[in-house]
Amino acid sequence: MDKIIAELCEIFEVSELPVDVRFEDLPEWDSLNALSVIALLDSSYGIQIDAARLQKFGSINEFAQHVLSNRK
Amino acid sequence: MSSQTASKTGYTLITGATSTIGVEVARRRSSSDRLLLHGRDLNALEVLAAELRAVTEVRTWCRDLASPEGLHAEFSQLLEHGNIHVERVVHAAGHLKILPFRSIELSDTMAIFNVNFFSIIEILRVLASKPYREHLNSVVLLSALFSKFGDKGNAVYSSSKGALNSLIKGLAVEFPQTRYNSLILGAVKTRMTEHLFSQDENSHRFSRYLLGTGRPSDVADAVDFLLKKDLWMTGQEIFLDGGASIA
Repeated sequence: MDKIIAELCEIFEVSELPVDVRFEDLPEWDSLNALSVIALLDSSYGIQIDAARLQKFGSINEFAQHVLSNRK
Repeated sequence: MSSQTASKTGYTLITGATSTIGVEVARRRSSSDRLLLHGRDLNALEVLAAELRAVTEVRTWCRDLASPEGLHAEFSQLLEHGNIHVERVVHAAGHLKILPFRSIELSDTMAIFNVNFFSIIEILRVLASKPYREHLNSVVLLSALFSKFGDKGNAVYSSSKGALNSLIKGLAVEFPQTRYNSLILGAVKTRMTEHLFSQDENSHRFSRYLLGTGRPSDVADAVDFLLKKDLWMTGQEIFLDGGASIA
């Protein structure tokens, strides 16, 4: 869990992330960073996901749980 | 063979012939040219070849351009064994990756440059050699609008296309008997780009297209012009972009 959050911090270039907010609530959120998250999921966790699906997660926490449960 | 018209004595090599644009160009050129169709998907290549063999002679070359090592030797052998004279080339093979620059790994950069740039250098090195260069009339390399203007997340891909723009100038001067031109394409909806058309946040990309975004047939129109025998144009970057670059 910490690993995913750390990876997200690196993508968004922040030292910490509020995990109970949605992606689009982050000031650092944009379509380019979305692509980095998508690429990370594919290359490190074997999960294919699109930008629309990413925005549907109720919180970053929920997203991280999804990744942990679905990693290949 | 003696009944063949002059324009059908030589081949048009289309790299990435099974790509969206490649297929359109292949179909268009089949009415006038023999075709050497390149692709990495053997099945798709054979299906396209079967379709076009109804109207012209077709040879196929299945090869992934992501690994250019050995490409020069393999292409040489293909031409020699097949007794193939290539008169025209359309480089439609391409690898797109749009990501924040910080996220691009060296392996991504290499994949982009191998398919888009290094592979066509290897192919053209064969065609520029003595037995082949006298037959080579015209080369068209498909480039991209963002090789001339900045676009976030697009620096690496765009630079691989920019490299093509420079390549054609050097080659035009070094081999004046062959025309070398690049086609600077604006947005065309293809398998490679369709994800950019589907996301709402990308709609800003297309607001500057005065004539709307392009279709594969628009590209084939421009390719036809650039492949015209003895065209009085070489070393040029031709903008085909529905007005996007001037809006």
